[in-house]
Amino acid sequence: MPSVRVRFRVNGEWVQAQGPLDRRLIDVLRQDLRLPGPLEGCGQGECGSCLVLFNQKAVNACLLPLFAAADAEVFTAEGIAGARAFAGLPGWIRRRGLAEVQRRCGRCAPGMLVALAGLYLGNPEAEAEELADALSGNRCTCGTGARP
Amino acid sequence: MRDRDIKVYRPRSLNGLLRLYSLDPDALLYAGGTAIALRAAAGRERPFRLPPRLIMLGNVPELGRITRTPRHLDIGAGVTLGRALSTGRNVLPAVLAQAIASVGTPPVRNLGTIGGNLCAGREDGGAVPSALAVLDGQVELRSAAGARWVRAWLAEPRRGEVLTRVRIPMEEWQAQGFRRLASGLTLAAAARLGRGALETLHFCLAGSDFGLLRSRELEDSLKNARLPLAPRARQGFLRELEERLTIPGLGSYARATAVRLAGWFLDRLDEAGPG
Repeated sequence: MPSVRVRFRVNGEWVQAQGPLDRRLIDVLRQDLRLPGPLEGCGQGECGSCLVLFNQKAVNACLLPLFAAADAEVFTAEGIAGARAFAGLPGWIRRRGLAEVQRRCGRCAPGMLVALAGLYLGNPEAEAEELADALSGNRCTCGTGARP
Repeated sequence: MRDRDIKVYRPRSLNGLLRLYSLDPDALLYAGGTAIALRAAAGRERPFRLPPRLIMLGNVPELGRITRTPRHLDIGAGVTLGRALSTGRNVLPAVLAQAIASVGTPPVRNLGTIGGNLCAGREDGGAVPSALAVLDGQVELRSAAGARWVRAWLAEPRRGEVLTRVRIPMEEWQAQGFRRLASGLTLAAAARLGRGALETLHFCLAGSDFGLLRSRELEDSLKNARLPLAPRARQGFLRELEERLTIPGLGSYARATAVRLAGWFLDRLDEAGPG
């Protein structure tokens, strides 16, 4: 299998990764960079466990091959928690009555945080319907089934 | 970015893309990549079956444009489904907005592009093609040799051709409807109403068993029918539809469901009409 070498930014820092053409971004984030935020869930873009901000949009890292990340800016949940650009995000989430996102068991919380961060960047005046839509790609995979 | 085994091209203009693709028409055009990834995830092609030469479309500005004139709306083939929805909620015809919203989840729509959906996303049940069919949408297919326009739901680029944009006529529709069932069966419809009658009906069913079904003859059978529809006109339309759906491989339950979907839209027409 041919391999690619790619340079991109993760949580504000340039990184370089290498792998076969079919290597996924989630594998690089978890295995090479030891970032636990993006989780492997369904592996087909349905559960939202692996969400990352990719050039400011929430996308499924399980559907992204590494080669597509060249020169991209990626934020994982842990990067969002520490970045200045997202300083207003916790208050924004609280004001919208979604505080329990931060109190999840940890399985779906990172994905939900990324989904909300993507909405926060794109449309901070989002209405309830848009919030619900933004979270419609996140499924509870721990079994409690609760939603914000 | 390059290994000796692989070439990933990143053209920065449409002319550059067309030139490159004419030199290497076996290279894979890569936009959102969702169709490839989902096929791989579903175990049908594991690992990703990617040729060693890829042309990334993300840096071609012409493919990322949305333009609107009084006569039509043009959406670049590289516009993601999510962006088409968010920038065009007041511009996109409702039937197309609903069709796009039915594809995947919001994060998947942030990756998948409208051109990719038309060229590679047929397995999703034909939601976007069916909406474009009722809107008489067209797509531009370009190659280094020239350009041609074809009906959007028949978009099959030839070797060396790139789907560059989708064009939707800006027309006023008084009634629009879109339904997509879990089975993938999809109904898209739009109608113009006037003076208490149904002036024009565009109606399309899509399903993995039979592809897309749109019949001008069937649509014309209700042309100028008074609203609410007379029981005879309604039953005649549904009976005719059922006959057209007598297709090998399409079960009676799926056929009956399709007819029920059509009945749902006729009910909407009755509600939208003068009553």
